[in-house]
Amino acid sequence: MIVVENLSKHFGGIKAVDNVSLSIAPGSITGLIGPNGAGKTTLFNVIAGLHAPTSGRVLLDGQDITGLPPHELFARGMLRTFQIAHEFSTLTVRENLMLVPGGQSGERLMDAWLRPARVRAEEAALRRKADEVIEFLQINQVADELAGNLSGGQKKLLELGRTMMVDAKIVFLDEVGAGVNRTLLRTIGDAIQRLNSERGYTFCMIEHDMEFISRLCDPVIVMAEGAVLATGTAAEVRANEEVIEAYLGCVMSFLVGEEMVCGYGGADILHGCTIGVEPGEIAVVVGPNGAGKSTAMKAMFGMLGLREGRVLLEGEDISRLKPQERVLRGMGFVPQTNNVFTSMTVEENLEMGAFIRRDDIATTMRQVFDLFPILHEKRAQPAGELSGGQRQQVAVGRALMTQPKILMLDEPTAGVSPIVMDELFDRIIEVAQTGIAILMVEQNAKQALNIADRGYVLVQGRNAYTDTGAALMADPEVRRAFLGG
Amino acid sequence: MSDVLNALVILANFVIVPGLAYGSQLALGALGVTLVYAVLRFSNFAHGETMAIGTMFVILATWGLQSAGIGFGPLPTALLALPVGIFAAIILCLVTDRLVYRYYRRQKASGVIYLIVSVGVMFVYNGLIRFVIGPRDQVFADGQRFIIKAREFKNMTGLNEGLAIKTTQVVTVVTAIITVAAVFWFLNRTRTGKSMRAFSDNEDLALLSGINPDRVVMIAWIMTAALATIAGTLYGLDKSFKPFVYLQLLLPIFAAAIVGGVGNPIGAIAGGFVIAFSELFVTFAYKRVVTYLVPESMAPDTLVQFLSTDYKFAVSFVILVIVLLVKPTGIFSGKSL
Repeated sequence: MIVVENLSKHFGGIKAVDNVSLSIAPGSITGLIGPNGAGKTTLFNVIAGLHAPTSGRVLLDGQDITGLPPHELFARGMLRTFQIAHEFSTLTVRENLMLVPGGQSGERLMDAWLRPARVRAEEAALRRKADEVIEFLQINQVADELAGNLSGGQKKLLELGRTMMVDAKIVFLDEVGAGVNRTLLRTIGDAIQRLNSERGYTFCMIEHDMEFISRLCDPVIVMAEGAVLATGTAAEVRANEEVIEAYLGCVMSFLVGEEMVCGYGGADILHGCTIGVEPGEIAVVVGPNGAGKSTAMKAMFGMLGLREGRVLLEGEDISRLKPQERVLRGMGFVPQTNNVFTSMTVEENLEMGAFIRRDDIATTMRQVFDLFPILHEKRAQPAGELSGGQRQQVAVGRALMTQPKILMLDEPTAGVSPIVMDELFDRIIEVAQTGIAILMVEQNAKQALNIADRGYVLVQGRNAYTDTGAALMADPEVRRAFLGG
Repeated sequence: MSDVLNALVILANFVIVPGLAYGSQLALGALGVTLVYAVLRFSNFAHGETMAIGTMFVILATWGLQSAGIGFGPLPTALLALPVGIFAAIILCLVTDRLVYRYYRRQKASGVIYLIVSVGVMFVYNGLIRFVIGPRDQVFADGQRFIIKAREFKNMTGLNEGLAIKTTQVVTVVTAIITVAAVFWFLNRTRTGKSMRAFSDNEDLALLSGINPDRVVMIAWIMTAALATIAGTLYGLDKSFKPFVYLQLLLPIFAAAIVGGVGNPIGAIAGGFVIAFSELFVTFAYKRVVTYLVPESMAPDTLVQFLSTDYKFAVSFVILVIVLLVKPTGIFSGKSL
């Protein structure tokens, strides 16, 4: 049905998709898996016409559809859903569904005035169809609810419903299970299976949940580093040595939080998110509010227990260590708020930062003062009396006093002026150049990605995009969704 | 002119000198309360009884020294016994923390629960004191009673009024100054002291800096026990040891801590003197002072006393209420209660 031939997509020097050939058989549910940064979403975007490929072509039923814009692919029965549900939040579920098919008569001003009967008839037909879809997906109870009020999982169901309104032939699902609870995931899985068996839909889906994949998908295609690594049944690829290595081999050597699942109280905030950083590198975690950015930092520093997953420092599992023990292992953390001892002087703050050290701290303190000259000037002043930007400098300085191998910063530029922010970023680059690994969460996504060697976009507790900072900046989808165009 | 001097001597004799001594005692007590509040974050109602039980240990040690024939010359033998008493009180506080408070710390109990728990500890200590030393008064001050006797002062200056300064008063003030200086030196100059301030300022950040919370808590109890024992012993030397008086001292001590700003050591000391002098000024009978200062015809025939001494605790209460209404964080802006 879909045949991809020698497809490549490069962003600058990054080969996100590199010479990929694969085919999707009609009537199949094809799973696309792979470690973060394997190029799955990019491949989807190229097939779905969001990106033009660097080379290669895509065939739909033998016809070349390479580079066709999304709306033309849509007309040919090819649809994609997004990792983050896109819905019209101020319309009801039913209205959302009825809007989907293009070319409705009521959309033309003349027809709306001159042929009301025809418009009404069309609308009635659409309504019947929408009702049928609602029935099929068993979302009757929320049919007249505003789409914005739906839960994450219900929004995913609505996405599926939208594909049914136009009788798609092939649907690309990008992490339909992301941020969805187990029960709803089963419902979504059932709907996909029924659409496949009863309506003859072909599906191709990116998914991280192996259980979900094993239940639904045959075949499963494994991608790693932009290329296809293996194809086969779920059981086959699971047993494949190369696949195992690809998943484990991409483990970063220095600090990495793998497939972290954790949260506060009963609800999980992180649903299997992976973040890592190398020495001398700046890794930046960005994403919308509530994506779990700060939670990920806390989990990696041991301030929050992991339910699943693990944290590795230089290959050693440190998941069970207390924060103080991680400090001793060379990790430093700058919290987002309350990150200085307000009643103590700048100098005392730095001294406290070096509390665990038994050797002479004078040299390190001099280095911190060299990095932040203003602190030397104000060293005898209580940190609580300093300005916001100066406080952040104290906070970073305090964390540097332990001579950490890795420095973690939770929104270091929160509440400081743009000039101070630039200044802070400059300092952070300087710190990274001394060989310290820097992992930071940032609200100012654009500026932060600009200085990032590695960028993580988190959405609803999962990795949405992972790439170099520059590649993320260049990715139109990331730009549109998170960077404001 | 001599009238004015006479009036001043009366004031000094009955208000200023006793006020300095009493204020020092309250300051040391309040310092202990404020320390527990700053580090362990609760109001320790057992602090009065900690003072009493520490003093009890000192008295027992004093008796031991006295029976062995060891004295401290003109100074009270209790000063020699002080380290023993402090050591015993530290052990008691650490055992209490291990058996009682640690459990609630692990539970992350709220301040109110701690407070109730400390009331329980107070009763246990109280029972322990009655069990060991009994409820009766104990006078354990020995050595020379006065440094300056009233008559000597009169002979020396030729004034009508005498100024008596008790040894215990001088000992109190000197010991208090040394103790406070030591506490401040510890908090501001040593690594451990700074780590306590850091822990009190921002517990989470302290943990991130690798400061060991168990150690900070332990040192806080050691200091509290030492301060309580010193304060209690000085008070017992100055007045006499009555197990129940320490329970009543709790009010002025808390008033002192809160007036100064709870959690703030400087505030605790200032608060101690504010409370002490307020009590004395309000309950002092000014008749003789006024008599010296006004012409004979206008001499008052009442006591010229604002409140009877029976109401001295009411003074702390009123000050406490006013401070909480007007400036709940205290004069030196401690933590808001």
